[in-house]
Amino acid sequence: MDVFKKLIVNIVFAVQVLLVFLLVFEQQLELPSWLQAFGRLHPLLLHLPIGLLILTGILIVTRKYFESESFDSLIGFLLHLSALTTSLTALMGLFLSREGGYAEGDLVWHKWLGVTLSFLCSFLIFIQLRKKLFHASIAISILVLIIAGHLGANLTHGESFVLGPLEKIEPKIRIINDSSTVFEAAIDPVLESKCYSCHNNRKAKGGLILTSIEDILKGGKDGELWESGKAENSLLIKRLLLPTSHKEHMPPQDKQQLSEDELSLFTVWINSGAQIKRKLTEYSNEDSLKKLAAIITDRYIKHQEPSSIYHFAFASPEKIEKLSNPYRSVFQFARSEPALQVDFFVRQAFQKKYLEELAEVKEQIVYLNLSNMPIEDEDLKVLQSFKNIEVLNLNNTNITLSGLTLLKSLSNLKSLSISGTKINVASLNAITSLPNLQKVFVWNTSIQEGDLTALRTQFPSIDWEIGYVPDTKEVLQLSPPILVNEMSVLNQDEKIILKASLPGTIIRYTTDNTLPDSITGLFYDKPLSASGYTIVKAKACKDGWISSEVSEFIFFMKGYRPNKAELLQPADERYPGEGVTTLIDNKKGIVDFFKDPTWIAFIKNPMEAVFYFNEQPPTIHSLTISYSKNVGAMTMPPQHVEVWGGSDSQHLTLLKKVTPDQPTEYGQSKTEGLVISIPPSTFPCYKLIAKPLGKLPAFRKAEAKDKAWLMVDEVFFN
Amino acid sequence: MANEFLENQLNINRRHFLGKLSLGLGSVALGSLLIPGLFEKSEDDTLSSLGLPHFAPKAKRVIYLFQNGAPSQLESFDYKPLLNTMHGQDLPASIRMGQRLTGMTSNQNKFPLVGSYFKFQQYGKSGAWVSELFPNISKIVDDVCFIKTMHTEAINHDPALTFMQTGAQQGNRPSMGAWLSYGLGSENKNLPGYCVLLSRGKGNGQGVYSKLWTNGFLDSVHQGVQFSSSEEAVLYLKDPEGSDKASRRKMLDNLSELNNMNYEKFGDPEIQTRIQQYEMAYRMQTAVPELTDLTKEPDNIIKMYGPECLVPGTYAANCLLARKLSEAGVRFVQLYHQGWDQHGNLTGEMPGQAKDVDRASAALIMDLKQRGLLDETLVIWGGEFGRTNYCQGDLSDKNYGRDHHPRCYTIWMAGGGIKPGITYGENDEFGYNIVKDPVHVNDFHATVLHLLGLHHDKLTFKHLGRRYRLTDVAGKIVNGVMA
Repeated sequence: MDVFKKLIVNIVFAVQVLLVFLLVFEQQLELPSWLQAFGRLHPLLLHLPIGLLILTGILIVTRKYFESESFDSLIGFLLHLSALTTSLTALMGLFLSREGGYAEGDLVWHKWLGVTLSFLCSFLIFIQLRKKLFHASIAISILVLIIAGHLGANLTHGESFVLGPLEKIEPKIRIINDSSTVFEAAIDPVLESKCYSCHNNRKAKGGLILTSIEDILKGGKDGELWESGKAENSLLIKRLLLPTSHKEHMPPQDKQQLSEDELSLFTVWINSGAQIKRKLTEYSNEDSLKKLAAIITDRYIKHQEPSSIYHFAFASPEKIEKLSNPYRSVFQFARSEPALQVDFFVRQAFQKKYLEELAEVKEQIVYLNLSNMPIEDEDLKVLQSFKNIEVLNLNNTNITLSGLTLLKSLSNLKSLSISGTKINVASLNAITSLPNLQKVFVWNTSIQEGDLTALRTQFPSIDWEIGYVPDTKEVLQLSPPILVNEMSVLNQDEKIILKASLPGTIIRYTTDNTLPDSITGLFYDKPLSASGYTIVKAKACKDGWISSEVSEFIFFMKGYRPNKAELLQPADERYPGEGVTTLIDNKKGIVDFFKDPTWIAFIKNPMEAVFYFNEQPPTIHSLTISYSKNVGAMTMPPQHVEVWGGSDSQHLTLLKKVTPDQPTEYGQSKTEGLVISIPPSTFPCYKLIAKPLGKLPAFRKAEAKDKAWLMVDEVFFN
Repeated sequence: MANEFLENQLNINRRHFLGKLSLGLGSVALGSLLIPGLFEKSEDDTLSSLGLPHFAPKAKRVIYLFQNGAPSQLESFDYKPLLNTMHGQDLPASIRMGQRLTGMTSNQNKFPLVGSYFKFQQYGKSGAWVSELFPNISKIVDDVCFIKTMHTEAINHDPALTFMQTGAQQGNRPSMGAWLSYGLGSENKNLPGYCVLLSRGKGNGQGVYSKLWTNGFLDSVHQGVQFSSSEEAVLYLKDPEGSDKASRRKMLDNLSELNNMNYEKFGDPEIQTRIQQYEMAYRMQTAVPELTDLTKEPDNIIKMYGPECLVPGTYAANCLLARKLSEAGVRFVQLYHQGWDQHGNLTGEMPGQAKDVDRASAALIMDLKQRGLLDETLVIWGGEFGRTNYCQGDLSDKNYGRDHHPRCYTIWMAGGGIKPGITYGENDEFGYNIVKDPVHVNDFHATVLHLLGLHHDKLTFKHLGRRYRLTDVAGKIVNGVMA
């Protein structure tokens, strides 16, 4: 062991001598390359003295837990090893420092502290253990070790290596508009997202800082970033274009790369002279640089929300809560905005004090809507102190000139709505002095378009909105009369009531299935009576208007309801309705809503229904079958209908056979009836056979397999 | 029994505590390794922001004029003269690119291009092309922003419509109006925050169902309230004969007492919703008659919207009512006009459909404008997808049909925060594919929410273990359409 220790002491001595020699002649030193390799072992070896010294320190502090004989020799051995590794590390460090490329200040300190440490460690070998001097020396050594180690770490990893991840680089707040430069709008955002992390004030790899334009222009240790106008010679572009696997390619392989358009943005920008101060407006819209910049701005800059516009204090939530009621809503423009919007609702509920109470938040009210409220001129007095009002809506209020005069102090007013008031053109002079007024809405007042001409020339900054002025030459068509009755099945003595909505309109109608004429058609002056199946065609007429289109209403008379009915052949399974009940339930189907069980359909089988009346069958004059006529949906009138009558279903005679007209064009979809008049009869049993049309008419182009539907909703016995 | 079970769950001893603690800490640690941003402070606490916009909005209210059935963009606002030149020729494969077709035309062996039967002309300072079917909308083009590059993922009506309205094709997600009501609250406590008005034209129609205005998993106060198309827009609002306001009030007070008792027992939030709805209905008894009373409207309003606006249940009447509702602070008024599905007989049906909506749509814009409300109201007009540039079925000189086309279609928006008098996006000369600036349905939703002062990615609701958004996991704000 002693031999070993002696050997170490000798080596340490030799190394120390060499160190002193090298330090003296440092400037003349010319390193052979093999020594350079030796020097580069410094970052590896330095971990040994750190470990050994700290271990020694710990052992000394915890000495009492160990047996003392072997302990002292262990410490001695550790101290020898520390001295050896520290000296070698210092020597290597000295070699390494000759390579250059390190920040001067830190390097000098690191070098001298390292050398000092190696001397201290060598000194420690010779001091007696358990003496105060020894304890002090080892404490100093560890302190020096920590400082030197920290400086060394800064040299290799950068200053904020350890704490860096905890410190966030605040994202820049950018407001990009036309007066921004291409650099601000596009180049800098790309740098921020892809380069800042390694090239900033705290960590400047390759000596390059990209966070400010001044630093960018300085360049890094390899020189300036670009040569204006020559992208291909520029260091920045060269580095960006190197193969990704290349050591000098930027951004490094494992980092997010620049996209194609970002690369071309940098190239085009440098080629066009890298003009840092040139604004977007100074480029033409066709300029490819401007287009590229726009794409990239979109990518990185979130749409900027205007930050708070109003600088007065917030009204307290309690105050807002207190002022809010169902007829007066008060709320902030936004969470971050102190400005208040106040609306009044429900004219009947308006109270004057509702307006006066708002004085509590007079500073914050920016938007006030009093439209349709019974506001009188004097009510506006309270508004005089509402200095921040920008939008005021007084539509359909009772204000006049004196009311407008009261608004003179509202110097922030931008938009004033006084449509539907009794304001006349002369009163408008009361508001033209408002400095910020931009829009005035005066529709539906006595003010005419001609009145505004002078105002428009005199106050061009104000937009005077007159609104809709009817074109006197334009003649409009009236809307057709509407039916007031809710049901198309009329009860006995129920009248047909028609209505035209526009006041002053008259209704002309027919009941004979002809088109009504606006002069000769029957004049509708009172509700109509109907006796049986009725088609009313009506139109609305009024002077100065084009007569309406004809509206058609079809009515069925509620009849006798059979006590029982049955279908001899089943209905189509797709539209089964509620079986035969559908035919006699007095429920009309909704037009074209065939899935509803008020409809029952036949396509292959004819409809063959038998109806029974119990004792004392009523006198029947006619049967009416009601069906859908919608050529598009292929629901057609039946081909023919037969009515049979008799004492029971086995003893029936044919009473009547009717063949209805078939449509010859598409026409409007409707539910119509076919009336089959029979000699008045009192049979207890009737049979109705209605045969579906089968083949569709030629004008209704359809595939061969498509057949006509017979879609029935009701049968009436009258 | 239920109580014992609860108590049992509350019993926790030291061993449980430590066991759960270590498991909890372990998962927290693992979570932070897997999701680095997990424990960073979130920028916005969603819940506390409810009822107020996230930032100052450009629009306070929305009126959505939904043209249900998908009106043809090629006969309305998307002028494609090339289709007239190439009338009858087959759609080039280079344009079709084998993209999906519906089952209605996928077995056609030819896809003859068909140009618009109706003439187009440029209007306004903006020079927007509008077909002769829309003479009144052509007068307001300078207030409107046309988006020519809407595109959707669905190819059939119901999923497309559901997607457009709820941000998902499958249904049962909250609709756009419900999200806005949830995010912004109601402006006028006397009316529902979200109203739905239906009308139908004579053209081939497609159904609309209440799932389109559902609250989904949101509280049911956010559900759209469908107004009746009869004379009484809101049914059963009148007190029955022989009962007066005071007795109604007393009845409601007693009822809410009973409901509160039930609430304390079961804690079901829907009971509170019910109480609130009763109270609102009570206030609606005064608010609604004031709204639906047309006698205070000046005469030229009727000329403006057309005389049909006096006929309840028509599109024109609904537009007028929509204006009144919006003026009275209803956040979201949703109209549907049915009948735009022209697979065949397009030249026969489309003029009628256009006539139904043209005058009233334009009138609504002008009416809002003359009251100073257009600046704060967002109006949207459009369908669920577009129609093909080729003919479905028989092509004759006078008539043809068009199938569904989800890859590009046109809608327009006007009002609050919209850049007026512009056309956004570009599609190819065939009107088949998008060339520039596509706007996906999610993008459209993101943009609408943005205009109303909401971050589409922050307006969320946690349901079944995850947070849902109207835009789900997509959506880019379309800055180009905003002023």
